[in-house]
Amino acid sequence: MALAQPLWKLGVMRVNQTQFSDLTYKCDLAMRGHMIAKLDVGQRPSEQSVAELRAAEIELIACQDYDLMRKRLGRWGLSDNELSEMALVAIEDRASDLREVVRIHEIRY
Amino acid sequence: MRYATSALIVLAFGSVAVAGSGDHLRSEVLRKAALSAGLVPPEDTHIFVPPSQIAAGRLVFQSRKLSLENEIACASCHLDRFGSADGIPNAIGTDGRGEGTSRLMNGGDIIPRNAMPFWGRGGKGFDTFFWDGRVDASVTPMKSQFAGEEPSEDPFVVAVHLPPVEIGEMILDVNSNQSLQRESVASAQAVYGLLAARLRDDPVIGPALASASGKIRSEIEFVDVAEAIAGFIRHNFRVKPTRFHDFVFSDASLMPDELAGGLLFYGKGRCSACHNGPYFSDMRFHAIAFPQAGFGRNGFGVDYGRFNVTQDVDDLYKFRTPPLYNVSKTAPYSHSGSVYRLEDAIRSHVDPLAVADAGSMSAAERAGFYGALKHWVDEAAFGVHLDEVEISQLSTFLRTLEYDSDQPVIETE
Repeated sequence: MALAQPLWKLGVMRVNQTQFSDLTYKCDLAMRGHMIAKLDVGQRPSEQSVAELRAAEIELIACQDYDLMRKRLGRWGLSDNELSEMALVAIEDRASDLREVVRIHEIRY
Repeated sequence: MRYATSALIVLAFGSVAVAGSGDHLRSEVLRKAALSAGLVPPEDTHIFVPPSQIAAGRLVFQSRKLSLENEIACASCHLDRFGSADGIPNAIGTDGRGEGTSRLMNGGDIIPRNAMPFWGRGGKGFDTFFWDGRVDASVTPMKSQFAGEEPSEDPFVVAVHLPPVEIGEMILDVNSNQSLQRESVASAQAVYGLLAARLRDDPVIGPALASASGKIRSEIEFVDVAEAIAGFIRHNFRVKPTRFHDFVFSDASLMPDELAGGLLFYGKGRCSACHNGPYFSDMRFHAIAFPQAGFGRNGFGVDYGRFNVTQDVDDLYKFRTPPLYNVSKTAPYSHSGSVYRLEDAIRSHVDPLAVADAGSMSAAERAGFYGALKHWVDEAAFGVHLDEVEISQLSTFLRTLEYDSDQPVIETE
């Protein structure tokens, strides 16, 4: 019984990793795009930069999808630790070499 | 064994897929985005055309008598089966025979641009015509090759004047037509006089034009012919309700992939930065680095686009944003028709290097391509990453913009 639960969780993680990775990437991309669009409106206000911000806001729906998936995975019993592990796997999927891993984990101030 | 294990796991634990969740929110966001980007009900783009003008215009549209040597009709290259375009990369004008691929194989005079479809042409606010905007009524006074001597205040009627006097398009490219090569207003007027006389003397077209113009046959001028053609196109290809209009204005629903594609169109894809307004075109000029098919307007695989009209270096490689109604029916795509699949056309906007085959280009063509890339970096589509699924969803969304014309057209003698 004690062994059954981790196995079951591993199954849930494995089945959902691909979609979770995809949503993690898309939300990250959307958030970065939104931040840049907001800065652009402040630095170079124009009809074009405002339109860009509006489009970036719509793109943030990807983060809604990401959050929903996290909640649902939580309902299936995954802990924050296990969700963090899935997020790390998502990052590793996109990292092509050690420099990417360093970029993600280095302390910046 | 590994796949069998995965399948069992899926069955046992299910997936927590989020697709389709929050559809109400998504639908509302998409509706608001479409309205904010200028979409209006189709009838708001309509201009009334009298039935007599529609009937006369259709006759002329289908007749080869509109070309100086009775060579070609509007309907030779604007075909129903290709969504009112011709289905080939560069249009083939005079000396061309057949439709689609057979027209491509049979020779003829090549026009170094892709034939444009007619959906929405001449509707309210549709004021910029041709790939390079050579007729532009977005400014006052209107700009065109007539340089102040425009034959009409209606820019669409002015636009209709151009193909019948274009060498290779509707006038044979032969020595005897050398005097027309200058494409001056005076030489054009001479051609218009001949064509008007021929059409008013036609036993079927003449009376129809008289009825449409309210003139006696002997007084019919080419501007009456052009008004009839413009009236026919304006009415026959006017914007009609699409599934997307029904979604925005009548609360109809979209399929999940259509909805996702719509949100990409107005959001992540940045498509609506240029494809906006009632016709999904800002009527302005943008540089998208499509591969060049054919010799190009400027030769050796180069087409400078809007620059050829304005001589402004900022306009190099720019073309008017094409409207998107029925875009799924009008392959191939781009100013030179170099891309056959709609998905590749979408991809070219955000990832041109994934579509262009640099190895098959000449050095000169690559130089032109780099020029286009240089201008593309300032476009909204630059820096956007769309994956295969998203490009497919965008393509699915664009299919919600389909509708049919009122009447079929067919080339006649």
